[in-house]
Amino acid sequence: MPILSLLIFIPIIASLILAFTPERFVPYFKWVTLVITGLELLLCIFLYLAFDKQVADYQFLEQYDWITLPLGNLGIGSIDYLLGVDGISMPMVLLTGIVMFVGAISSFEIKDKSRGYFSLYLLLAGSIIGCFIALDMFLFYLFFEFMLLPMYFLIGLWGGPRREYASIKFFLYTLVGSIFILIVMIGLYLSVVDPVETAVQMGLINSASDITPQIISQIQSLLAEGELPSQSIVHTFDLRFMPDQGNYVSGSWLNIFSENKVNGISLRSLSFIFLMIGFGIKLPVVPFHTWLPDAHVEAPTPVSVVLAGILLKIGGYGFLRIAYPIFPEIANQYAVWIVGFGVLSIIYGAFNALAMNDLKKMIAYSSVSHMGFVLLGIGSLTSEGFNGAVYQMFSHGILSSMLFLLVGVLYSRTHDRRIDSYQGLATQLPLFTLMTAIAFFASLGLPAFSGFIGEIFTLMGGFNSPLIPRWLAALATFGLVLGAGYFLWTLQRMFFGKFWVRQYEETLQDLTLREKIMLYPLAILALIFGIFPHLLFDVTGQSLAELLKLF
Amino acid sequence: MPLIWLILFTPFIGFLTAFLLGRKHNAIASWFTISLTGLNLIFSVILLSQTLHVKDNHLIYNWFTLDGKDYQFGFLFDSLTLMMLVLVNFIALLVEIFSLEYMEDDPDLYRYFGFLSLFIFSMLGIVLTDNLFVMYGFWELVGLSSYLLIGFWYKKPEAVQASKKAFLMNRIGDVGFLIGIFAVYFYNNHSVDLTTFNHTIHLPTVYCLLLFCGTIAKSAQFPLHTWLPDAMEGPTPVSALIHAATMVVAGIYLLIRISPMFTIDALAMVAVIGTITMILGSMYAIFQTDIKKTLAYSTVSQLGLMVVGLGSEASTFHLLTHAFFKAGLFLCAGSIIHALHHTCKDFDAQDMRLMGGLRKKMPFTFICYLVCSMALMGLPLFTGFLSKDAILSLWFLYFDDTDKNTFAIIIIVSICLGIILTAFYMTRQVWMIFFGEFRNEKINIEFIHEGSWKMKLPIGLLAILSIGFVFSLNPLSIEHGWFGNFIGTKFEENYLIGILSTSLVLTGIIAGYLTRHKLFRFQLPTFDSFYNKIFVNPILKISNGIQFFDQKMLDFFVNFLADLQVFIAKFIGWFDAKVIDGIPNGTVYSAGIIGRVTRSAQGGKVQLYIALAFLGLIGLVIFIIITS
Repeated sequence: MPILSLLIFIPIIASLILAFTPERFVPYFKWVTLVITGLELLLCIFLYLAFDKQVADYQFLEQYDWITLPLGNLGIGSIDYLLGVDGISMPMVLLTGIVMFVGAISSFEIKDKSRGYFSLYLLLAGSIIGCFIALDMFLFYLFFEFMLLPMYFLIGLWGGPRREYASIKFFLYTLVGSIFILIVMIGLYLSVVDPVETAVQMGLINSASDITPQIISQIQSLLAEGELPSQSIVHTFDLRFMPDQGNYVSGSWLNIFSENKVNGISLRSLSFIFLMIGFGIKLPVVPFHTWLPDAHVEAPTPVSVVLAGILLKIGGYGFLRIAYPIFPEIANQYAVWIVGFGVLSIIYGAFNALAMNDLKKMIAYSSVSHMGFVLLGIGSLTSEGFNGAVYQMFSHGILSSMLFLLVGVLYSRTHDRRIDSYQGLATQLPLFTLMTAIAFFASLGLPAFSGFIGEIFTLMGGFNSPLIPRWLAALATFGLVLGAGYFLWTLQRMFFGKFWVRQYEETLQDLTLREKIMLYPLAILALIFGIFPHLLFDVTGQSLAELLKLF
Repeated sequence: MPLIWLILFTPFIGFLTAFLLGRKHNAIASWFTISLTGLNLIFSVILLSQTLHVKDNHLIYNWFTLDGKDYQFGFLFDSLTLMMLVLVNFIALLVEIFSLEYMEDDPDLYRYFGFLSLFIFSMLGIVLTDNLFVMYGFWELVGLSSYLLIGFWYKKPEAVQASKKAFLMNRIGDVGFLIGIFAVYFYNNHSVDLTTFNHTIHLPTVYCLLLFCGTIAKSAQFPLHTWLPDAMEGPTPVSALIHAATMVVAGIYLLIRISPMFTIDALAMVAVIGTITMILGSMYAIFQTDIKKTLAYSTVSQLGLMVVGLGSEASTFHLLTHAFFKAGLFLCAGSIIHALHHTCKDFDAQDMRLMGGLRKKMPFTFICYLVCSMALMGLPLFTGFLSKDAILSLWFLYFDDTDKNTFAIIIIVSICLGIILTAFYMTRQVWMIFFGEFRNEKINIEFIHEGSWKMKLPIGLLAILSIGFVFSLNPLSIEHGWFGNFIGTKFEENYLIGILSTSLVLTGIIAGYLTRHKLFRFQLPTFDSFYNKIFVNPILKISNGIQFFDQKMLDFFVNFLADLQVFIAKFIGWFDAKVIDGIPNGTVYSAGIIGRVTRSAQGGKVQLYIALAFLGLIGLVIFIIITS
């Protein structure tokens, strides 16, 4: 069963069907969306359970030739429809399933233009999953870009007062990032050879299934000596072949031995920097983060949830999937810089969050701070750091979803997100307060919640990494103090003390059943993943250990 | 061993049940959690009797594996842990019984008992676990339960403020603790197991001190001591349990566990911090008028004394004795506050200036308070005498041993000063509360009465446990007491030290008695305003500054880039319309002009043609003439 293709195409096909269903069925669209995302979640859980944790390599592979173009002297261009999951993408796929499902429940509050909304939402679901499981860089890029389209409209049409500004800002920012990625992608494409297909072209083997390691090394040595006829070189976007330096055409731009330089920086360094910027915008890394608060504040609640819960993770995923495996020696060289930017994000985001009076903006900046830990962990190039980074991404996906849902709950009652408009909410909204307190404490890294494991392991990685000065990692812990500061301060200002609300006191009511259904499971998940870290570490361990061998 | 799992998780069940029962079943929730605590005390005693001095006292389970490294979760139940187990459960039980009456009118009783159970769970976690990593987890959970209990009356802004402050100050210390754990992990061969800690690890001094930051925050040591007095905003039984007897000594417990790794320099630094805390705490205690605040500062000072004991067995001993008498004092204070509060509600029931002469109305509380405070001062026959002497004799031993005599002398003199100050403020406090005339005009002293058995029983038991006979048949010497055997060391009694300390205490008492009517108007400046100036306000300023930078500069720059694009686009549009398009348009236009000019020359008149031809001919002739 092509389970991965199902994951991509069920929502996309459903999205098309919704777009062309007669008007009288529109009231049922939210239920259809719920069922489709529920199905997706079940598939993701099935995938997680069926995932072989002992294997570091890609699993559930699906490969079809998609585009093959003879380019004359440039060789043969080959783009595959190639899907697969490994320990890095598995947690992200699971997270996508969870967050999209919760987002679908939250989408019930969308009342106007629901045909467009649910259709776009499902389109988004399909492209996000596609992004995480595509192993062909072209396919990855396709999904990566394709996500922008529904996202742009979801913010731009269903957002708050400044939605046009926010959606254009989001779109352009990400587009700039993807141009950087596109440049590197083309460079990689021209440099990397698919040894299997090339062997077929050379007539060494009859079909791709006959491949043996000997043949591959034969091709690679021919490639290194430049003796392959250029007509039969098959260029590829296959991410599985890119980390192997043997697959690079000798003398090509991104070959590790080539001396191509621009202004004294080697093309490989430049490519790595481009990728870091491209994915860094997505993560977001300070100073490329300013799209995030605006997009979050203006986006409707479910879109904020998806944005914070999953879209940011594509940045971190891109580091681990593309930038790091392909340019390991550059990553090693710039480790201090990368960690430095991570620490900068942690502290900068936390300070900003402390100064915020808008609850949603505060949470948006806390996201910046928390994603800084991801960069810290990845930059440390240690097993603890890598695993911690993936854990932190997963955990932040759960917790930020919860936080944005909670803001949405309050906003739907009063249309007021200012922190100083509320006081003593605990008396009137005990369950809402309880959930907020859980989300806040989990986010500030309280043990027994998932955020703790992520933060501790990234910090531990940073501290034990031989590449990073200790004081830098120690500086990052300051973010923990600030984090406790802004969360507790908000808790104090909004929830404790005498009850007082600036306006709409009468509409203020505690959680409804639908809100409980979204929030409780997230809280429980945060707890489960805080107490049983092996649920993810077992999945990520092998693949990341394999990745670490490159450094 | 399932018993140990039971001990850890019984309070957790209490926590869950209390919250499931909710407000409607306050009474059931409270009695249920109390019986669970009682049960847990029995379990602990059974475990103690079974496993005391057993060699094989370490259970290890695998928590998770990452990249071939096992992260373990385990139980260590040596004498220290067993002692802490029984101590925590015992005091918790007494405090819970006391709370039944103290908190009886509270509508959120289930929440109170739920939080207390959560606290017991996390505290037991700290003492049971065998490695620093897991301990850090419970450490933070204890911080959480302390936060929840200090802020229990969340409608009171001071309580909320105090709870936030406590959590944040603990966070600051915990961050240091965390870095210390990373360092231990690094230097101790990827192990944070408590049983592997010894001198051969060669942990650099700076990391020893970072680890010690955990103690500094949790045990309210200088300079992070200011959260503890504020924490008195919580219910008084909570203060007794958490902020006197158990949670704050978690820092001391940590010190006991990690001190084997410490370098000499680190230990010296620890002693200095302990000494400063001890003296500061007792100085502040003198000037307080709030009954609980006096006790809180006294706790700070006693914790300092335990730190001065450098995590040795003497520290452990003082930890134990202090837990009893200080919990006793707090519960007595609670009993007084409760009695006063019940008669009239619109005055500060904790202000000692509004008390006096209470011994007649509350004789039982008075006797217990007296016993506990004599134990705190360290009078002979009471427990404090034994444990303080143990710490003193420790330093006298250092004094004999080392050549760093001046250092030891300074510490010893400070301890002596601390003893005098303690006796001084406790004498004054006892006098203010129980002797003289009742000074509150708002209420009639006749209405004041003792609480029921729920209050008397805990206080009475704690007072009994503050008497020296409990620890040693010869209450003047611990040398033959059971505690040395229990913890596995030998205390040597030096009678000279006993005489010295007794005379110091008497000095303090006399001084206190002489100044009993004098009220100090003077207030020592607290560190809070200083910290606000140095840390809190600058951090808020920085965050506002960074926010300004982010929105007004960074985002402005981004928008500027976008606007620049628009500007360039407009310019190009203009260029396109005026220049690029202008060239063909201009060409066409000029062609038109030329056409119009030349057309005018071809008007169709024969005379003009002839004239022009003639002019042309003349021109040609002139040209030929000139050029030739």
